[in-house]
Amino acid sequence: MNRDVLGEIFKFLDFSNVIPVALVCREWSEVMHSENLWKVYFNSFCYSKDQLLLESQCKDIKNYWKNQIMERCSAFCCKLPARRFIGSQKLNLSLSHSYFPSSDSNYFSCFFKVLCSRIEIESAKLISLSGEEGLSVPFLSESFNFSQTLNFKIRLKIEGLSELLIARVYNVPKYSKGSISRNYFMYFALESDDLSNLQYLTPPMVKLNQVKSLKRSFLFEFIKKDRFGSITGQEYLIERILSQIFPPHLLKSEIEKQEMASMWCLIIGRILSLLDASRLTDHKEVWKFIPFTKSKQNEESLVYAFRRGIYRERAKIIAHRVLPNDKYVKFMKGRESDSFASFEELKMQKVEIISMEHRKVVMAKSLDYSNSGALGNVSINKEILKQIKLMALSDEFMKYYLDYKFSRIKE
Amino acid sequence: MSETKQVELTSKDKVSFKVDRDVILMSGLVKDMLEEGDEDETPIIPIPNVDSKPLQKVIEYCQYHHKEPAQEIEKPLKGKIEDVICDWDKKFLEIDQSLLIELIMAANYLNIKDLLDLTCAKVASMIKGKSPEQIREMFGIENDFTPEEEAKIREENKWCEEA
Repeated sequence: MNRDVLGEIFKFLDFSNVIPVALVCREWSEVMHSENLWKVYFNSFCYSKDQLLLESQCKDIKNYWKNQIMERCSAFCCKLPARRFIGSQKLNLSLSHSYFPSSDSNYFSCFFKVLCSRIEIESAKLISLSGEEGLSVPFLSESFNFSQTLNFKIRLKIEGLSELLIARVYNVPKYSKGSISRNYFMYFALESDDLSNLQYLTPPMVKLNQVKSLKRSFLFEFIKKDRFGSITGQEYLIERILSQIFPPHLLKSEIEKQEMASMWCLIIGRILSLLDASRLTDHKEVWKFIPFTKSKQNEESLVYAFRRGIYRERAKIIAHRVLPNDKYVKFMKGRESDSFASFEELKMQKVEIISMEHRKVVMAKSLDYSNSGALGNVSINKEILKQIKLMALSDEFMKYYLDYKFSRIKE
Repeated sequence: MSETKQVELTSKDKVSFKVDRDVILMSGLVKDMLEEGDEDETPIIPIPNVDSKPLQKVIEYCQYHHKEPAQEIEKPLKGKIEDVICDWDKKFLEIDQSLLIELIMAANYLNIKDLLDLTCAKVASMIKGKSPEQIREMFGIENDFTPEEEAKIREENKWCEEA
């Protein structure tokens, strides 16, 4: 095979093959380091406009394209953890399909993937009725009785966080007027905060209201009756947790940060279902204890609930910014009585708010237009155009980058 | 004049193949040559770099794909090549390695981009995930590096593993 042909072959490879191929022999190594080849890599890896931009600067600098790629990789600075295991149990946190419909799918699936790629599960344990940390997951089906309890504590090691993140999934009895129902919630806190919260989190006497009032935690409560979730402690999640994990330029506005709360819950749901499915004969057993999951689409309904809760909050914020005062009051009244009547309506809400206002808010915020009050009329001037282009570049790049990473994990 | 014009190709080992003109126009090289030359009834085109066996395969490929253009193969290759190509191509690639390499050289020489992509992607798919030793063995290549050079290559490209 001559050099031309080798170059053609190498075009179909990706970075993970660079070292083995370059080590074959001198000729292969030289072909592997040719500028043309790296330009092809750059093209398949980055946004095409990016390339046009750079082409003019390229000239004859050695390793130009390679360095361009390196630079971009280090900007995202996320190394993949080598493993995500519990014992010998390998967990694949990536999703087979996207939960996030077209308009925002790239963005959210990117964040989801970034999150997943940075999580390692330290341990997952069942909390017994007496509050002791009991069995480690994965469980043996004969070793405990599902009908009694289903409280989990999962310790997560996440890149960027100096301490462990504790996630708890609780299903606690609630006594009112002589009858017993159950509260379901997911709780997140850093380990040190979890330690000081612990006294409120010890079954059997877990009182949801007390847990809700804890300052240093993030809580997502399932509300069976209304079929949407209630969220507290978003500030904590954002300030103490998310901002440590993501480089600041990835957290583009508070709106996206809030959206990410849902992903935490989804990830935990995902972990639970995986743990569960991995060992139990009837893996539906666990899901019986988490509401909204009677249908086969367990995760979808979870996400539905999460998003509902989050969009409520989100709608409030955006409405406050974009609506005149009297309309805002009216809008809020509508929200209070939970006018998110159907999934269809939620979707409508979403499309309207997210695709239009959300982008404007992001732009306006980044350009400090937030006080102008006239977001509907933000004219597209050069500066804004530049901002949009920048965002497009980074979104697009991130998509490629992460797809690339995840294709490697699968292999 | 016959309705379908034909072209005669002669391989390195002097075997002749008659092919429809439309079919072999997939080859950039033949196309250029036909445009230059006179309009003979059946032009004879020597292909001195390609043996009859790979040439036969090339013609087979062109006969199928001149009507059914192949889908472009994405770069970098995701997963195995078998997942991204059509059934006909899969069957077409069921050949031994030496013929595959000859086919690549032929596609390169005759300038048939789709065939070159297909065969190169196939080899890339074979290389993926293999160690240098395995690759050398596969293609009968001698290691001509000193240990120092090897270490240097590893160091310079370390980031590729981390990226």
